[in-house]
Amino acid sequence: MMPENAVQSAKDTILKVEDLRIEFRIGRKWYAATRNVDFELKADETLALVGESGCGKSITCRAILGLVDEPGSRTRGSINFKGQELVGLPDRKFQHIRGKDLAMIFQEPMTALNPVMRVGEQISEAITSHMQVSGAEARRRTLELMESVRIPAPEQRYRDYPHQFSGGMRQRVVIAMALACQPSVLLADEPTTALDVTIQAQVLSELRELRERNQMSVIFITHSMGVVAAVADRVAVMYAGEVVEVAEVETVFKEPRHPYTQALLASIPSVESDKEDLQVIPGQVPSIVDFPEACRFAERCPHVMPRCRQEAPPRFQVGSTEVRCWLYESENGETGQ
Amino acid sequence: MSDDAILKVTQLRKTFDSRSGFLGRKAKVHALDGISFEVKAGEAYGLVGESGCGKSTAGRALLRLIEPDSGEVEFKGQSVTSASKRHLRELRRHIQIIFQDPYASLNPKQLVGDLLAEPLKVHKIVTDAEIPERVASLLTSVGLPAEAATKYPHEFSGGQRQRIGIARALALESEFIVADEAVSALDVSIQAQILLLLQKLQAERNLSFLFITHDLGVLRYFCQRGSVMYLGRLVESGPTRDMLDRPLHPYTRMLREASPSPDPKTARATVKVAGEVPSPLDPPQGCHFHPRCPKAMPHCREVYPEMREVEPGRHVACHLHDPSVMGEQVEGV
Amino acid sequence: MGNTNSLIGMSVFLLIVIAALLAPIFATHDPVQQNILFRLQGPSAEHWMGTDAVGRDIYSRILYGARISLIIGLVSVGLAMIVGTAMGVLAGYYGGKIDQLVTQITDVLLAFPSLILGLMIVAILGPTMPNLIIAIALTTVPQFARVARAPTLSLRERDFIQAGRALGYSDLRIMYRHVLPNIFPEVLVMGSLWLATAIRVEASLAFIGLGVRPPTPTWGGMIRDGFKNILDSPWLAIFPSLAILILVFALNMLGDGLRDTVDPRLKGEK
Repeated sequence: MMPENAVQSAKDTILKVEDLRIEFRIGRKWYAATRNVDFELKADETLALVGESGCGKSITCRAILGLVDEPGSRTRGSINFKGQELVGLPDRKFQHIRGKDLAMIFQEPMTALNPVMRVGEQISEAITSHMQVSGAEARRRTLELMESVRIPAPEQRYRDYPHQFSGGMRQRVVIAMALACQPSVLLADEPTTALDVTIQAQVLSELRELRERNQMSVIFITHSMGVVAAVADRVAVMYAGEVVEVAEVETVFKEPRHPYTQALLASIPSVESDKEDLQVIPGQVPSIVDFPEACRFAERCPHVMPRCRQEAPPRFQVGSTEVRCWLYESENGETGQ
Repeated sequence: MSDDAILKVTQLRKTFDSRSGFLGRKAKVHALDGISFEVKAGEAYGLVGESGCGKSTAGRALLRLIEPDSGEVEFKGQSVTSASKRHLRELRRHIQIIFQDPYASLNPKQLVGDLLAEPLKVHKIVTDAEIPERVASLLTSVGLPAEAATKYPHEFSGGQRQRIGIARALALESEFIVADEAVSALDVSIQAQILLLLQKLQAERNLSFLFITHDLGVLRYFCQRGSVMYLGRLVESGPTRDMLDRPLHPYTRMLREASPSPDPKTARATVKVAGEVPSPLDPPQGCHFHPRCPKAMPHCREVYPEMREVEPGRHVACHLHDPSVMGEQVEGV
Repeated sequence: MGNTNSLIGMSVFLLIVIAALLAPIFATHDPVQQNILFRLQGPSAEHWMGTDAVGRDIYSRILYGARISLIIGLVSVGLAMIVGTAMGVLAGYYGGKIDQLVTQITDVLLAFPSLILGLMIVAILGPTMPNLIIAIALTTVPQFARVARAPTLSLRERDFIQAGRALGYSDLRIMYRHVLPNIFPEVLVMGSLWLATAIRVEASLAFIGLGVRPPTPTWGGMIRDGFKNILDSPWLAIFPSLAILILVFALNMLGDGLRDTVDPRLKGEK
């Protein structure tokens, strides 16, 4: 925890992911599920990691938490969290960080909760497992947390079991557990995807408030550009295991740079206005064993050039946007490898 | 029934028994509490609502995959609800269904070619010799290569499987398709592909749809008219564009505001969403929506509002739009 | 892992089946030919597994006995598999009264241990081959009904079954073409495991004197006969016991191995 008077400037980087490469062995060969994953998470901001299924957003999130440890997998590159390198950190040391300073919420609130344990006890367990506090203190903090995530009548609901909660309330419990040790970074993996729209809207606006009040940073993983618009300060768009574009949220929606981001936005049916035609991205996301060596979007890209099929594009800076696409080569110098 | 209606649903009801908890007493869930609507020929009619509102039950009750308790479903003037078993099988040729989960809706043990050939054989649509050709043309019409016939469903991605499901629904040359959250499980770019495919097929074959969805964007894009459901009842019906641009029912408005729109400015406006959907086991007295409604009046707690036409083609079940309740004060919500 | 086990089990089982089929070729003596001069002889070059109290060759009798065990086992389990699976699928698919009826029948039958039930039936009907088959089949039917009913119940709700109904397929067709292929692997696993049980039950019945009538050799009957001379000529009981042990063990290995390979969680349907 930062001391309260140490006001951080908005530019402080709290988590920096550089050239993250997560590989899996299939048969005798290693395949990269992600490569060229670069982004920074700054203090007090929400970064959305957005992309379609199989783009590598969830595995990236697991890698940050040190949870990619199955046999036949390896992680390369760098994940720097407050000056500490997380890639290769032994699990024993990771346990002091995970759940405490780096917390996580999952998509399915039902499976994230123990069905036979009282909700209040689960939250206070999250507190006592990382902090030396008395039972009474843990209970007091639990009730506080339940209140802060807007669970009505926390005193009564403390003794309830998860199945007595609705989906939205369960997700609030999960959020309360994640906040138990006042983490500086919260990783949220599609936390509202299983919820109905009206409940999703409530949880999203509460998450926004909580982030501001608790001075933490959030990495928010989602497949929905609508959710991105609602929560994010900055956005990293992922496609086929790569971060293809990083930009401020307004910029992404106003001036999407990467052809994939552009196509993704054009394929969302709008609630507000009648779109003449949905734009369709032809073809499919390649599977991990067929990821092209050069630009991974080339086969589906409307602006494809010969070079796209020969060489993977580096990061180019266009205004405040970082984009991996040869279209922007002439505009400005490279920023990355 | 108006002349151009292909499907007419009148006062359809279905209750399920539910036991609350272990040893709990039996309770009734009114999954469908008297819903009525009409789908015109060549039209895509939307049914929108949150989980548990009964929209999927409605789709299945139409085909009698779930037997409705009461009410009437008429397809081209013929009663589906009172059809004999044999007649029903004949009627089902004309009404098909596409499911949400492209992984669960195809028999994993059947080759794609076989699962497309089977309905052709059962209903003797073409001679046995013509089957391979017909299967190939079905596959092509949904944008899959003819070789797909020799593979198993698990060899395909979600979007491709949904195409197979669509091909199967087209095999019998049906005129009416119930699409039950048919694009909800798909990624947006794949969703757009499938929506365009359905649109193309609709134009080519003059198909009519009952399109069940929870996504207002998809509703607006695909459906000309539709209804909003809440706890087993329709609360608003009309042209989708009007419903979304000028919602009449407060629930429609709430759904509209809660729908995440890909625009940071509107998406961050404080959402005025209150409360949660109450348990269908114990719906509130009076208007089911009143506990969450920002405009609830004492009258709403007592009387369930009737569905009434308030503008040409627009129906809403809300006291705010009932002059006899509101007296002179009727105005936009 | 599962594959190696089922392969070993399968090989041993097939070996026994071949031995039983070709018993006349492999046998060194006539299995019912008595020869009082050579009674109770230990294993020798002439009588590989010795002779019994009336001088019959144990090795040849085991070969012929395998036929009885396998025929009774296979036919009864086959019958039970057909009847039980049909009952289970009907119950699971239609639900309601049919399901209640089937569940009640299976519950009643399952209340008796298979051996006791078999014993009662054979005692009433008499110990002939067809009666033994009926008795063992009857004790196994509920097992198959149960194993078929549960997955049918969940398959019924699956969209592809609903799609079949929407496409106007008859119920019979849906059950035969769509439900059955999906539950068949599990039924087959059950079959190999219950084949082992059936063979054990047959042997037990023969051991207490309710097997196929002498002089036809059965493994259970041989153990029963051998028991009288267990102290001075233990091989009389040991060799047929070993035969049962090996066959039952092989079938269990086969079944367990198969179960691992068809475990629904490992199937390629996500």
